[in-house]
Amino acid sequence: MRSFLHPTWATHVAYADRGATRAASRTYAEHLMACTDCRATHAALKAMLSSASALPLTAPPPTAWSTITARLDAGDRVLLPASHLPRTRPIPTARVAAFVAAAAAIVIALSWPSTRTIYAARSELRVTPRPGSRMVDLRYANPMLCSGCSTLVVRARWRGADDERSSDEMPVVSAGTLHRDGDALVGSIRLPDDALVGFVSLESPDAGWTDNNDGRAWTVETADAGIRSLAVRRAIIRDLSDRDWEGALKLNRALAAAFPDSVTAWTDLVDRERRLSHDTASMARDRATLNRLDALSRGRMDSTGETAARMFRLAWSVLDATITRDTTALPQPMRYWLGEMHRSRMTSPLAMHVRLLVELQAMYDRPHDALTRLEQRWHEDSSEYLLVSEGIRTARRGNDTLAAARWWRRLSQLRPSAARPVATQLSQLAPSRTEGIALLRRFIADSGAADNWRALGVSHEEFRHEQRDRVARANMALSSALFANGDSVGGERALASAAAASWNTAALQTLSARLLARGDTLRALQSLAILSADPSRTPAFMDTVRLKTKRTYSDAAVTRWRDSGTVLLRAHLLGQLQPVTLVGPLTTLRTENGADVAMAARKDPVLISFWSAGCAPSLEELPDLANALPSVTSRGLSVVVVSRAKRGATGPKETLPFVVDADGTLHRAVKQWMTPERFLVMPGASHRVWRVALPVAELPLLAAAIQAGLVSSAVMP
Amino acid sequence: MRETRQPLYQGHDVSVSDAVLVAGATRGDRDALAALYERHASAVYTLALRLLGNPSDAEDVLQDVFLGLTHALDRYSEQGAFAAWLLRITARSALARARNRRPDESLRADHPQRPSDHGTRMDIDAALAVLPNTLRTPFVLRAVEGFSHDEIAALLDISPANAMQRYSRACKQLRSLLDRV
Repeated sequence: MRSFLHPTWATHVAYADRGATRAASRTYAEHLMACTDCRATHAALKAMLSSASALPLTAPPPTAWSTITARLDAGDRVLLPASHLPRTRPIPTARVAAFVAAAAAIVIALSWPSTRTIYAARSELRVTPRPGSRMVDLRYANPMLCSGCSTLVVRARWRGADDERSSDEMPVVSAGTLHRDGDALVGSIRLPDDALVGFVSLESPDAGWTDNNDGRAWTVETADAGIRSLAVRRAIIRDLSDRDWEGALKLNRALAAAFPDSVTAWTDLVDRERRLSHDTASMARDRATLNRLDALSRGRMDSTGETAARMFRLAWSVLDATITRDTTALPQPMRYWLGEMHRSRMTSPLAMHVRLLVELQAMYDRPHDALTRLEQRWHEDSSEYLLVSEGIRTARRGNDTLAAARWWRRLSQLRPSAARPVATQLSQLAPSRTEGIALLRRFIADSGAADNWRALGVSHEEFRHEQRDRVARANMALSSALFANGDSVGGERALASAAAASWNTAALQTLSARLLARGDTLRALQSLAILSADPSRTPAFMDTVRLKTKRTYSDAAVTRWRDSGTVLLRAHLLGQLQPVTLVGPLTTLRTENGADVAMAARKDPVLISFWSAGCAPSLEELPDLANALPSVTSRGLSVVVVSRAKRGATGPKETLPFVVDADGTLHRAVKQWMTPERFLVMPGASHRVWRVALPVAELPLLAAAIQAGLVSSAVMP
Repeated sequence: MRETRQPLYQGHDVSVSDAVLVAGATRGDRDALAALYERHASAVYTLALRLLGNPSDAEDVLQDVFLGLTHALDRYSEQGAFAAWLLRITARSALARARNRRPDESLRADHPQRPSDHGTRMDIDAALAVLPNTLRTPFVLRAVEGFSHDEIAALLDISPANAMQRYSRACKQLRSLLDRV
């Protein structure tokens, strides 16, 4: 049976070297049948060893024999080392004594009434990784064995990614200690930084007994410095052959019954029975088995393909059995598998089906068969989102673009709100690219006319920002698809639209790279100039120009491009500012700290951000505003958050200047009627106020432009 | 006119077994020794060359082996093939010489990595020359000469498990070297 785990390098070598045991060879061979990579490794290793064994001999120098005879004649003698192997070292008495003691212990242990069943049934080790760290909390309960223990020692064996030692070769280390806490023992251990796979066991302080956690393997996935996921499970297939002999025999019998024409199935059954019973008489009694095997052996079949087909058909028979919820007839590993799924709350038949489907296709690397099954399930129930998500994932894994497009279309049927992501995905798949492009274009065209923001329950500003962002993303996807279709002009136009729809630096950079690639340096540099028009980016602009063009331009040329970029940037910013006619005076407001904010007397520009504790978008953008505050204020643009109510627990942090406009004077003066909303107050003889439609992320750019004089009262609308 | 004496044995004469030649060499028969040399010198020289990586050292080992063979044959019992026995002696002599060699006498100086212009065999030879001694020796003895891990362990005075591990690591390094080539 195929193992889940790839063989170690040592196993590859041992097998290629014919030094592996029969059982190991069998496991290895079965793995090779299903694993392309390991087959390639094995073939390369065999070829290398075969070449090594056939290396040619090198002739000695022609003068060597004459030298030897001359030295012999001269009476030269050489004492050669002995050729035989050194005598085996005498066995120390202490070792003999230890061996006898160990043998005696085994005999006593075997004759002692076994508590293994009860122990295994009641033993429980809960493993909880701590987020963001490599610490894992353990809680162990086993009333049979640790009722009198106050502490337990945790022993562990770990293997890293580049470590090819087998589990038996890994050194055992003390990982920590568990202490008594009520009915259980609790504690924590720290996983080594390079730990990938490991095994943990618990040992009483006097080493009187050990719980090896039923041989479960810990599989660790690391993210940054912490643990992304930690799976603790038994290696099911290996477990079957190594531990559950009865289960293995049942599986072999089921296989032989299910596939009466399979030579392999019947060979496996005979082999399993022989190994299990060591009783040839019992085999002889089963004359039908032998006869069947004999008859089948005459008509040899392709064992490799046949075995793979057999395994897959078995898997599906198990899958179908799960629908009936009758798992009593299933082999132990499958029962365990289903138990795991029950524990993970995937208990609906369809969910179980899908989950099994994914597991099986991963196990047997047959995504196309899995897709066929998913199609069948879809025809039975076309409302299940789980099927669609697994269909998309499986199609992607099998590189089946046609199927992927089909499943994406089904997603758009189930979730109309996912129109843009679906169109984007369809535009990226070759068979549905034209369809995806059409959908994206329709989405972009419709987005301008859509005016259902009230129905969505969001503010108009928020709706506009989101819509602009969606259009930009759609244009980016459209440009990729058009470029893939060879439509460079259309792609560039879409990129320009993306850049215009939102302050999308990625679109501008891609556009400039494209323009440079086809030699339109001037327009490319104009795009780069837009990026560099922010004064903080000036040095970067020069570097970018040098790197992108590999040429040196005159200062005048660069200045010209910068200027043209500046014009575009200013146009972009000014397009987002709407003049507001004040209907009342800007009063002096008092901050929470008691400081007066005399709006009329201010000499610096102020950004007033209206905020409300009952407004979800206001609450959502607060962290962004707090993050942007230093880069805005450092460029000379003050920020004041204004609300009718007090700051409150959910309000802005202390770092944000906060003003309570209890009577609504300021709200009325600027005709503010929804939150969140921002206004720019520019200093001057008379107050000029603009409503700012820029998203929070672009506020530093506005501050920089004001500081550089690109945006001023003189040029503002 | 002096008559040229014809040797009694010819190395390529397969009708004469090693046992006959060994018996002759044990008695001090120079012709028998010459026939044994003609028959096994290439194998002895090649093994020494692969283990030491140095033609001059390999020739020294070859001379030592055939100089001491007459006396060493006293210890030879016909329990195993003569060729295997001879190769074990050669391996021991070569390894003893390698241990006595100065550390700075590296293999790479004499066997620079050669381009792969003769197919896989040349590639393996070149790759072997790059391997460190601790890995090359187990690989040559096991994969090329067919020694068992127990024999290798005895020759290198290490445990059989260690010999197997070194062999495995040698295979891995060789494969990566060959892939690179």
